[in-house]
Amino acid sequence: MPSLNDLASAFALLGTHELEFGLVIAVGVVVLVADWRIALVALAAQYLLVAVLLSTLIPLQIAAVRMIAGGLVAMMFYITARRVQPNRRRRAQTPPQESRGLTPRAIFWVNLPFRFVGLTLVAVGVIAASDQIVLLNAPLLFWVTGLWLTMGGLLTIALTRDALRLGMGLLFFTSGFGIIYLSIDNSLVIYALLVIADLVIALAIAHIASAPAHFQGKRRGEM
Amino acid sequence: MSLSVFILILVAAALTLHVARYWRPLAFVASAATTVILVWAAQNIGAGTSEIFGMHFGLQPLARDYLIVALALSGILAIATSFGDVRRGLGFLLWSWVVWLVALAIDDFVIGVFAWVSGLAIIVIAMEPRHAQRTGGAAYFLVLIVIAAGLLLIGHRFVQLFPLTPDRITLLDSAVLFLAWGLGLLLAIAPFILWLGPMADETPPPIIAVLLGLGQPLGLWLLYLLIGQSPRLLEQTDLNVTLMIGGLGSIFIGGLLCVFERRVGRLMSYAGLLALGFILIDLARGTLEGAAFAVIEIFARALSLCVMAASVTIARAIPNRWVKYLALGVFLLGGLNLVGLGLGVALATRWNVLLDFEATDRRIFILILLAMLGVLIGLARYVLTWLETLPAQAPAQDALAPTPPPESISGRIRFRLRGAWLAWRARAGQRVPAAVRYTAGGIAEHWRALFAGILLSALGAFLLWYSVSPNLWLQRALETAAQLAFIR
Repeated sequence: MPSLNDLASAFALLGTHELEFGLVIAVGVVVLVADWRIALVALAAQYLLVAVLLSTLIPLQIAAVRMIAGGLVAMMFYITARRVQPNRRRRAQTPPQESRGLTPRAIFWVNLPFRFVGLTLVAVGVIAASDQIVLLNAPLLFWVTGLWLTMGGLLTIALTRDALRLGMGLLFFTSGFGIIYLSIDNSLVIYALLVIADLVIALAIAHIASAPAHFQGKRRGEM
Repeated sequence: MSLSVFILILVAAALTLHVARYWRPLAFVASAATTVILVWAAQNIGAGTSEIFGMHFGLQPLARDYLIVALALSGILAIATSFGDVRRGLGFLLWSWVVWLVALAIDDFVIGVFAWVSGLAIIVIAMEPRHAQRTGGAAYFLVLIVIAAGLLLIGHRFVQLFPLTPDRITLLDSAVLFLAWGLGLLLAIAPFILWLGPMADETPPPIIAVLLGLGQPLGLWLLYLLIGQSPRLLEQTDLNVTLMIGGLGSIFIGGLLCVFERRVGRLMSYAGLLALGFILIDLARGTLEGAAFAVIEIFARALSLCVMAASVTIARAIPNRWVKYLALGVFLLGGLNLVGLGLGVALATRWNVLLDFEATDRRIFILILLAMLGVLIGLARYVLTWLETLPAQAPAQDALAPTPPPESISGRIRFRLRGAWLAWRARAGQRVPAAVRYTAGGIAEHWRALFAGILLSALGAFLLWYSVSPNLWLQRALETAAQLAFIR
């Protein structure tokens, strides 16, 4: 069984560029790829990479807690997605005329080119913003990475109408915020609270994704 | 009683409600019992502070008063919910209080914010998404909670760094910007009101009342905890002006939105927004009197929202016409109190603000009056809709309708056991005097209507008593507000 020292030596192999590249890919996958399994893998990879990055700010033993929390979150999402899978499959098999009544219509068509353009704009925005502004003298590496993850998370939230995908976006946002905040205030209490917050968020999202619909067609003047 | 023991009692109470929700009579008894126990226990919490992990916990007098009222109102909402067929959210009326109590008792802003938003996140679990697996009001509320918590933490960091470089006032300005942004989002202060409607669509009225009436003011409590620790936040920035502008905007927009609304959840939310505006204006004065008036407004808003939610919940659950009419009357009383037209204490605080504006800026005075009129119009339209939906005669349930015996083996066993139980009960009943039998039979058949009627009457009576005893409440509010750190 690998010890913590083995883990530390494995982490040491990952340089800053590899970490940055990995996080860029992770955000790109969650925003662009529709398959929930691949997005879930990207979420788990993001937790791993962020823990490696944070191990430069806080002790490795403590940074590893985030990985464990990430594993729990990914497991929670996986179980939820598997539970609601029959509904998704049934919806896919329903004729389009009938399924129109079952699912709400999207406000506008969010296809792959649209998402790609959105992601590109966010990337340009992050580069421009990190060049112009720095929050409370945060180190550039953490500032850029945090900004990228928060903006990528917000983009995911804005583009999706799927509750699980929204949860993934939200967790990307909290990871980015955690990086930014820990770089300006190296507080272990905040770190612990952020880890707990991730678990609470995952729990709430799992509930929202698996709760039955209460839509009864009533809109105005309901009693 | 120490705080830790009280938290244990609170967890036990929430767990009891959560388990008891499956059987209606048990849910009702558990709700009533936990309400009494929690209010009694909250009154007996010791005044001292305790230290856990270097953090100090203790309830200030105002926090204790708020806790007692909040637990009583949550309990009343639990009782009202227990009458209905859907009791899934019963335990969630108390679960949030486990962490909100930490937010009330702690002297640390960061932990307080985490505790507050954790309670709000727990409330999300009690919401009912309109579409399966799809994002809606509940999901977006969760997103807002996370973003707002982040903004509040960054704002706090700016406040923390200010003493290191006292000449950089921009740090405090940035702090106010982030704090106003974070609190504005979670309190739905204008212009951050967009989440209020979709959230209300997916939330049962009792949960809306707990969230808006009881949960939101904790944000203001945390803000003033921070101001108590860093008074310069109030002295060297435009925080009071921000509160005043946010308050006025909330009043205008809340009143305007109520005019067009006929969904009860949204109506309660927008009317609550109007009341929140008055709270912010009172706080913006920055005086002891203003703080005391804000405290009274917060209590009045919580009470009104809870009364409205309880009456709507009972009216939906109980088919008896007289209960529905009683619920309608109590709903109206709660609505009028929320607008500030209930006689007494709320009227006094509202008109104090209004007369100030009448003397300084008549245009704002008239606009506020119009906003209040907007809420009244919304209430009237909703009441008319309610009256239209009342059935001419409650459908009679035929208790003697024959039930076909089930086909499964377990079903047959249950059927026979039930038949034996009913036969034994009929034989035993013949030995009881007829008058007692009829009374007991009536209570057994209409126990929900009976207890719901008692609860509604008690709520209405309390609202009237509360309204005619303004000096009592004002005196208490002045006493407790005077002990707050930022006033001192």
